[in-house]
Amino acid sequence: MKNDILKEAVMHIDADLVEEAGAFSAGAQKAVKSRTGKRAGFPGRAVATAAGVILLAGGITAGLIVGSRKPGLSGGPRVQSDPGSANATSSVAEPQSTVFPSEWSENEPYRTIVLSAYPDGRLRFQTIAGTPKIELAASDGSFRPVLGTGRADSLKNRKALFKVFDGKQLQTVPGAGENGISAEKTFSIRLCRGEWDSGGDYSYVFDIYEGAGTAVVSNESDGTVFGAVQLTTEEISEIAKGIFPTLGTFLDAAAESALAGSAFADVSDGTSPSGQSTVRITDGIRISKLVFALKNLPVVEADGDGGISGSNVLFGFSGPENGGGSAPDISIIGGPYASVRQGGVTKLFRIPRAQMSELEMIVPDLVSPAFSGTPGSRIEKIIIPQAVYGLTVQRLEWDYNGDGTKDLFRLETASTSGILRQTIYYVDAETGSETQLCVFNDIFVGIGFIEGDEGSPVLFDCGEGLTSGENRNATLSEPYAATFLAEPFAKISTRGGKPYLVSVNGEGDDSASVTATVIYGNVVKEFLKPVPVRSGLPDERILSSLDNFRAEVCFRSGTNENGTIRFNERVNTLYGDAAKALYRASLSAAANADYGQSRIEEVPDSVGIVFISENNGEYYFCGRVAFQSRESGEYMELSYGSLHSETQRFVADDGTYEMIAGLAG
Amino acid sequence: MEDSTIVKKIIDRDDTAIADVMSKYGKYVRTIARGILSDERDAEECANDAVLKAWENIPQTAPDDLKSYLGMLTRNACISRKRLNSAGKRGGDAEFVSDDEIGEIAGNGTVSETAEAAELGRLISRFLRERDAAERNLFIRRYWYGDRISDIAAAFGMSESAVKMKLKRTRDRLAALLKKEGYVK
Repeated sequence: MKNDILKEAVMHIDADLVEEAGAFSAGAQKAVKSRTGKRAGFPGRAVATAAGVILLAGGITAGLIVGSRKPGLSGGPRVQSDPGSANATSSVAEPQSTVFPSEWSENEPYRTIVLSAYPDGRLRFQTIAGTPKIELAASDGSFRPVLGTGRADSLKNRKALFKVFDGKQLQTVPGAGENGISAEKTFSIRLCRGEWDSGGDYSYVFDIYEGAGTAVVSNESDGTVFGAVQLTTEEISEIAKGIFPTLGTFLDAAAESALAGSAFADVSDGTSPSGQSTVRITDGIRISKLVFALKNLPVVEADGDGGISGSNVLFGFSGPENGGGSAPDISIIGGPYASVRQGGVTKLFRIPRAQMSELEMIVPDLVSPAFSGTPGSRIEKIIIPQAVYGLTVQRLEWDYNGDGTKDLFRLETASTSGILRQTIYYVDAETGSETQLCVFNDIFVGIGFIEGDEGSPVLFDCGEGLTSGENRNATLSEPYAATFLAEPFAKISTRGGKPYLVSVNGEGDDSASVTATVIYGNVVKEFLKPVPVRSGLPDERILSSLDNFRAEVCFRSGTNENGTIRFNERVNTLYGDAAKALYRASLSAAANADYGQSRIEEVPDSVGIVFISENNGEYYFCGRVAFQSRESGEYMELSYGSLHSETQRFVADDGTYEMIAGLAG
Repeated sequence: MEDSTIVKKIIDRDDTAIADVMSKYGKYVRTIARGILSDERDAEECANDAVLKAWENIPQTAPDDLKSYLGMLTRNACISRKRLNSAGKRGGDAEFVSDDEIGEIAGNGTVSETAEAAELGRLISRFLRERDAAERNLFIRRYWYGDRISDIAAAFGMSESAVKMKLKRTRDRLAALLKKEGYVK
């Protein structure tokens, strides 16, 4: 206690006094001093100015501004050669004033990367060996540092820019000095300073034009074009990689596409100093990048749910076109903050710089007409408890609302005249009444849930549209609306009205697997893996891969409450090839069987076979097959129904049974 | 917007308060951060951290003076960052001895245990207002911002010994005031 309170008391010094003293930034003065060789003088005096700089701020700003020397700058010329350039000079060269504007804002840009322009057209970076700093060569030959201690990311930026621009010939371009360039853009990398309240004229444009690969550097505020540099695709890509390493792949493609004159369906202007952008890109890469970025955000790890919206400052992101109209839950509310609302509680998170740079690039591009829908809850995992057809009738229980009451969904499978029909019902927990949601005929149907943060799973189906190759609208009864958009995308709505956009892939055959990938709806923490779907019986291809396959022949002992036939009195067990042979025969029989479930009860002593594979679970078969005992000559029904003409015969290895299967109904 | 309104919004977990804070005090906290940290990005991060800290803390302890509170949080964040940046460097701790200097104002005496920091802060503010600008700013740069003596000397165009002497005299005057006011026994 002793005198610690005095230390704390100092912290309570009136803010205005602190602010007054804040103008005396010792560190900044020292930095200037060290480069100019003279003391910079008291604060308030203009600090050194620049000959030319490329601004690369917040990871996303680039531009070229050039200014004249300001009063107050002192220090003698420092002559340095550029050994890396063929035009290396040992004399101080004046900037080419006819190309560059004569004024430069005194506002000190931050995170600046230096690009000096010389009359002979060279652009030159000046670095100091052994330090991460880059210095600016001023018009009088003096140098001043414009970067502080380095970080890995900025180093990458600098290296990338240095590699590309150093020694480049700066050219005067048509339209220089006028309001922009009339050349038609195919795309532009719009690099913004990223400071949310800069409000100044720091927003510069670094446009790359079609074909020529010309990087035109201009001042966005007045359209003044400073000059142009010819860049190759590789160089563009190099810059992109350096600036946004994590987006390198995307920008690689972007650069290529730009030269090809396509790719970005809609790249619009609108970037402001505060970073507003309405860039829209319809390819899926950015979407996936967004997922990636969000996935790595603390906001996500900390119970974040919801989507990116709206009224933020930094991005000026106008939010997704929310078809459902529901309020987003995550807002990038400006600068590095994201607020997350959940259950009436708002949490605020700060997004680390590295991740912010990704979001700055990605988020504005998310608004894509092809991906309409409002992000909903973060989706933890997708659960497909069972997705089968065949003999299994599914009842899926889920606490859909998180209210402690489990909702019941039932998938009923039936076959009529050889056409498989599957119906999904919603079962009212209180009354037991069922509401038919949808019916699928002769197609694979999966049913499952996407579990969200708030216990609001989404019922979805993987039905129509999967195999047809057509765009269909398989609309489930409200409130479980599932609209299949352009295949393989589907928009799934929950009862709460929050749609998810999922990508569904799969085949409607016995070997079907389903991948439901949430591509718009926030983060998929546990990314969806292909879900093996036990669509009835495994086919021959699967059969050959099964380990320790065996067939247990059982007497039917009854029917459970779901109508599933239960076999629990084992008659015999076949192994290996014998089991597989039986399986094949059963399968063949099933292909011709009539699933006349109404007749199950008519055959109380039917026999079933349970095919078991240690690596792939159990397969139940209850088809229209029968066994004939060699000894007695009696037929034992495997399933139900009466025997008809014999189409196939099977004798098990142990000689116990002869199976008669595939009986036409 | 009134500070009280902003504070209430924070207490109510209204995230628009963050935008309000940044609108009203963003420049202030960044100025402080830049005054302590030479790396602009570090300064930015610390300023952001400070606002976040305010968001986290205020529901428990609503400050009487939001601006000062933000300044203090920013300062602390920056000092922490500064310590982190200089960790392991030779003489890395040298710049943080200012805390000890201010703590020694009381000399062999003891500050009253009933004194509150805020109360003492007001007294120190009043004391500083009575000093000339140079003395006041030297004091705050050293003890609030935690500047190195050498940096202060460079910024103010003084020799380091002159800075030390001037600070010593200011501390002595403050010590005398504290004793006179009964805060130091």
